[in-house]
Amino acid sequence: MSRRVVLVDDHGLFLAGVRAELGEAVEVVGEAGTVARAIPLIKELDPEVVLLDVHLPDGSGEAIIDAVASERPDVRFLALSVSDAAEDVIAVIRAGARGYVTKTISGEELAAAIERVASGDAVFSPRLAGFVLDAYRSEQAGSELDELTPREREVLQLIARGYLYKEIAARLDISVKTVESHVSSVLRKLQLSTRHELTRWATQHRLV
Amino acid sequence: MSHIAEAKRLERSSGDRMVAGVAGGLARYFDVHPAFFRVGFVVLALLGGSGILIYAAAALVMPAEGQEDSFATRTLRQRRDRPWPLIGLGLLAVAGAVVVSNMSFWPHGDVWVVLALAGGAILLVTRHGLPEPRTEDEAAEAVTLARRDSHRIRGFFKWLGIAVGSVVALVLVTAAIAAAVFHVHVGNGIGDRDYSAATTTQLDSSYELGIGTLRLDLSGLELPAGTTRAVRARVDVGDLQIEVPPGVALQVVARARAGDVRVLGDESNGWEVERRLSETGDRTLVLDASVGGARFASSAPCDDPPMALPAFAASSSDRALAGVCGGIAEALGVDVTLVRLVFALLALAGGAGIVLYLALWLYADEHTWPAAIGLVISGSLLLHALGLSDRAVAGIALVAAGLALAWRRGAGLRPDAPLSFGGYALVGVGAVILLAAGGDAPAPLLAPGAVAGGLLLIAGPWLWRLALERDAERAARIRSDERADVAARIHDSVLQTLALIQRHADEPKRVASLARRQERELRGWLYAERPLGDDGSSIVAALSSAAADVEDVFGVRIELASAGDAPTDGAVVLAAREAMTNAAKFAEVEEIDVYAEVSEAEIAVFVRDRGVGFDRASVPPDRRGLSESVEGRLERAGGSATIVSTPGAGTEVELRIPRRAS
Repeated sequence: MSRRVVLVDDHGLFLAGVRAELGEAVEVVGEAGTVARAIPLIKELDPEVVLLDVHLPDGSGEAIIDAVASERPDVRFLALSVSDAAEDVIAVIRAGARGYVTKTISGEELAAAIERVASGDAVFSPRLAGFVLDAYRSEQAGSELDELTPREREVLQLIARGYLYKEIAARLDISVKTVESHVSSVLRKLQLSTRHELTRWATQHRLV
Repeated sequence: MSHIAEAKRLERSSGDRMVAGVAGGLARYFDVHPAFFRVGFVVLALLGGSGILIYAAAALVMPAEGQEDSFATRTLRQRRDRPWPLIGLGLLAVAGAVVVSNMSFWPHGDVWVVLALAGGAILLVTRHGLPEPRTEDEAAEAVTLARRDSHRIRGFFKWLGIAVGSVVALVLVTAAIAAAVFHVHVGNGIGDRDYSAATTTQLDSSYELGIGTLRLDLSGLELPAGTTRAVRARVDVGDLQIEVPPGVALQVVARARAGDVRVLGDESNGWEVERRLSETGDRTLVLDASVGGARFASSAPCDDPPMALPAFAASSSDRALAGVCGGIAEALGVDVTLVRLVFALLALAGGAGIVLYLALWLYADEHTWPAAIGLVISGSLLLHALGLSDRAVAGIALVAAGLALAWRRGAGLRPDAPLSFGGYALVGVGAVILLAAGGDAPAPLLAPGAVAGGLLLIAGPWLWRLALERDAERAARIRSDERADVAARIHDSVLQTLALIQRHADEPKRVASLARRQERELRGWLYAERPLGDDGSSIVAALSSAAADVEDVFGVRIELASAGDAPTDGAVVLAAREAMTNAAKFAEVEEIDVYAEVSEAEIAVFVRDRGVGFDRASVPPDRRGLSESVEGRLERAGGSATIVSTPGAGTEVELRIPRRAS
């Protein structure tokens, strides 16, 4: 049972590469290179997962999530980018993406990430975990953001250190399901915290 | 993303503030010393207290530093769904401003009562007719956002209704003002009237016309000897022409409130003109003629293309009410808060800003003529608030209307373009009224002021365009400089690397390492807040630099994640570098994960690989890398190093060092 996936990226070479690397693992049902083409395509195809570039020629990945999410609540988004800027990454996560991976990810890992997102879990790359920890680290922001529990913090730190979910589970002596639920809970807190606080965080870090 | 040209924001300064940071914020926006604004506010405050009022308005309209919305915007935005209470408040505000500025310009001087009643009624009805406003918590905001689309549709019809209402109101107000100034009795009729009388029975004793041209042809009138007939003729606004019969003694009283009077070739003009003529004879015709106001020149068809009116559309994205301020800000390329500030200040001037806002909104909606009327009204209110008399304001309004007409009919806004006749006539009439009003102007500087204002009006658009062109040129120059900079960088780095890659196409490891180094360099340039591979002034920068070196030497990939940053610490960076080198050399992996976490208390760096691992006991004692370079170094610096390795499952080196008290 391979997942139905739509790829949204404006780099043709990269799209071809991803397609080849994913191979039989998923079923790529459509591709789009712009926000304008992606929105109707996703609505029409109703895929399980959309693999989304953060930056597109006519807008951002956020715009696609905003436009599609209300009509197709079951479509899940996984952000895929070369961007190093924390503001871009946090923005697309807050818009509703279930995860963020960098473009240097291997085909195998990408397929696993797609599967994980499709089944409702969150996918945090080490870098994203670092960004999130950074957002919760600063004290002023921490006082207003929904605090992370010590366990959630621990899980995020291990992700940042490069641990896979099953390695985290083994190290903390909990089940992989529990790790997944901690990560999902962090994602939820991130998406529910108000815009203002994160804006301030971004301002403090001279990101905006 | 790189922010090449970040727009300046007008906001209340939090760092440079004495009261609310208004002067500091203005100074930063205009790049002027804040003392300039502070002294200005104080001087205005001393001169009748207006400085305090203006400062308060500015503090309401300007957002605090770092905040999205000002207090006023936030309040208005939250009420956007139901604009009626606000419009009611707006009318009350105009009424208040009218009372405060003690204006008599509005018809009958009592209009504020009507406005106050209307505003109060709207408030009352909306308060009773609608549910209580929602609470302002975040959840409600989310719901509001979700329902925004349906509100937009409803909002459109609501605004449409308001627009129609506003047009009607503006037309009524304009008519009322004209009526008040010239005493127009519209009931007397509008249009052209021709009368002639040949016999005394055909001659009425009175002829009247509200607006238009009244021609009375009495040239064929047979007047019996020894008779005296009196005729009264009156036009409120327009021309009155009377042809008199030959051989008849005339007794004439001719008056004009404004304009010219010609009696048998003698001409006078100006304001409140009166000519009398008294002849005696056995047949006498007594004429009592009065004209209220100047002629509104009928606009002759014109071959010139109409002037292209400056285009701006109400902004749909940046708006608190109808988006007029946002639209203007976009068109002029200034911060929206500045525009809001100007409107708020103008609103203090007898409500001129409110009328102006409505007018511009109508203009954006392509209701050109109501908008023009609104503009004239708001300008009049402003001038009146500045202390000009009714007549002077009426004169200036006519001059402005004339100029507008002239520009519209003329070939664009060039100062040397010919003025059209209609506009010219209006300017002339307005100037006459203005000069006639000079006597009762409160300030002696009216005449030079009028001249300067007139010059500005005529040359202003041209100067404006000139300034815009200069700005555009400068922007183009900056853009081309930037392009040259980008081209140079791409040539120095990317093109060189691509050439190298082609030469080493058969060495995959070398190609990968070249590509990786190029990627790092580009990233460092694009996302300049985290300069990679630089001198290592911070922990994260130094770790990036170390990771880059290891990547280049060993052809591995190092993923660096971080939370927080601090000034660099030599020991921990050198130890981390050694750990990365070890992993690259011995672990037989392609990827290494490095995570740095800087907290208040300590710096922690984790270097992890998923490689072959090793057994500590079997490491030969002469291999000092781990024990000396990593563990020993950290311990000497007061920190600790933990190495966890499992054969076949990889290695993790954990480095911790307390933050030095600085």
